[in-house]
Amino acid sequence: MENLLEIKNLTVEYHTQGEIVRAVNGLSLSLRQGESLGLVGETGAGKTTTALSILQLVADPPGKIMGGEIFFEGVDLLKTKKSLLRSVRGNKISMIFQDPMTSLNPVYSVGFQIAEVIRLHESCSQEEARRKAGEMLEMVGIPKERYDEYPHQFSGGMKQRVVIAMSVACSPRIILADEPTTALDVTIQAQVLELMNDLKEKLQTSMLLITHDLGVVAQVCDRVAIMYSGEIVEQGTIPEVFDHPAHPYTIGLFGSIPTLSMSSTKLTPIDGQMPDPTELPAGCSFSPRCPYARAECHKEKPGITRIPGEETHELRCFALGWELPDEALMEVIKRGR
Amino acid sequence: MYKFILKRLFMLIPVLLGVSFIVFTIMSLTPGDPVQLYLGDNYSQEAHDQISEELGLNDPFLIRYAKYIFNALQGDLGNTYSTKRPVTTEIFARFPATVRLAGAALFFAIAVGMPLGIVSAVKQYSLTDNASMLVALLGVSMPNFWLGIMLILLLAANLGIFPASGDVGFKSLVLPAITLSANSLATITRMTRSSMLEIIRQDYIRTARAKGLRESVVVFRHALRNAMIPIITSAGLQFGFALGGAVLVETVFSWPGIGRLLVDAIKLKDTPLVLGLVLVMAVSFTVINLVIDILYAFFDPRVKAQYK
Repeated sequence: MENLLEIKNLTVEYHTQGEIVRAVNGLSLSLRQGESLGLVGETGAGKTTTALSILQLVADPPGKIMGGEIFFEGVDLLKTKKSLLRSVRGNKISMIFQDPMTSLNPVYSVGFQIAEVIRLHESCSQEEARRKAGEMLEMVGIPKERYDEYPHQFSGGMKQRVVIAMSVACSPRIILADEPTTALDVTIQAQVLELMNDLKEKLQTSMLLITHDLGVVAQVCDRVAIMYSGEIVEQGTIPEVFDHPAHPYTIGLFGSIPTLSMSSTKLTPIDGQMPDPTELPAGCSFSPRCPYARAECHKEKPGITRIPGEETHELRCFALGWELPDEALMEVIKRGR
Repeated sequence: MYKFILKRLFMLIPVLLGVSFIVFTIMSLTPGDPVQLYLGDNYSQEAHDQISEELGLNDPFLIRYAKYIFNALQGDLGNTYSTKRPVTTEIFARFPATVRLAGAALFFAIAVGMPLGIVSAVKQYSLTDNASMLVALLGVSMPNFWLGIMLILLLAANLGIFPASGDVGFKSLVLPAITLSANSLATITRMTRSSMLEIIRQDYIRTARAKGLRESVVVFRHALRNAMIPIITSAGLQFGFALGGAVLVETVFSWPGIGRLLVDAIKLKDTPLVLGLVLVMAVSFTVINLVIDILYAFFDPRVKAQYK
């Protein structure tokens, strides 16, 4: 199937007070029609910056997209005209932001904010937009009588529903969901995820789901990409990556999930910290924390390789083909799930 | 909302009582003999005693205050000592000119200051930003009597575009209004800039951009309305001060406003006139505050929800 969205070699930097923060470093990613891709990584890995770059919403200053290409429907969004980009934003590609408490404008009614995007892209009358915005509210489970109410009259979960209604109002082809459930409590999280799954099926939309929650990925996504320090270190289908994690970072991630079946008093973290994005290591950026790192890892950056025998499973690591010594760790991971 | 407005209007009563009491006290504590002013230079002791009795100056302090309030409630603020005409007549002969001047200055300050502030915020650190911050710096630091004199020199005396003084139609309003607005223009520019700078970094502005809205719609529809609260606060306060009369500007331009009237009244210890003027200022300040509060509710539904 053809790729709906294709990111090639994206590089984004933040220039602050004499320092250059390398947030995204030559990232390549693709998304197919109707597919959900989970983008997983810890805080500061560059997930949000990647999503913002697609719509060029990275705050500038300090953010700068230094290079790369983002193809959508055959057009490089990074080089296209402003007006075309505007007609893509909110219409063909829309975004759900992380914090519902702050992503709605406090001085306009929620109905108005949904109707605004409809009126903008579908050139319909005010009444038509109002009617459709009301339908959108109903679709996400908010009675349309609350159309004229303001964000401060809604709870966090309700606000996120409004944001979702806003992002699907124009039936976009791609939804970029930036940690849509992080700011919500667990029961509301489940509701919102279910809602997003439903909408995705109904509308046949592709989704880029940014999260640091592997459980959410397993529940919602078809494919997963693991991001570390502005790069994708491993990607593949859910079974490929979840059943045979190959990158030491991914293995560590799975290993750090506490389990119910095993009684343990301590968590199993990955040792060390993510490298300072202003001073990335010369070789593989995970090498300073990697338990398997060899001399070459510290000197050279590994390229992307397809894992033999698997269809889409890709890896950015020299360790492919090495005998990874820690069988015990793998056991923990397997039993953990 | 109506209940809120009514409640606030009722609060005028204690405010006016307090203000009048304080001013009344101060005026009676200051040295000087009002009767002397009333009678002019040559008078006999009998005449002095008679006028003293007539003006009620021999009564105890509290009785005098009570009498004043009693009359004021019936709309009688007494006669001035200097012209012997009713205080209300004197004030309302001058107040419209003050309102016109303050209104024109406010209009000019908003019409110029807000756009400058918005451009500065949207294009932070640009040439426009630096230029308008320079304008703002000049505006607050230039003494306005000096600015007035310079404007008269240039635009009235040399180029003859505007009249140099007096209140003779629209043209004569321009120079004093610009002079009076310099300060508030600077404040409004800075206020707009800082308020907008804060708002355009908010998440919901990013949301608005993500919808595909034009940058101008993002700025004016989504950012500006959120940034309005500090702007109207400072604009309202400046307007309130201007309504209290602008002594320096009025003096430079011979503008017949209440600022000069008040200064003269204080110098002559014309108690009824001073009291009347202070009461008018207190009322206008309170009303402006109320208008500001109503505007808050207009711009921000969260504030409106509190006015119940």
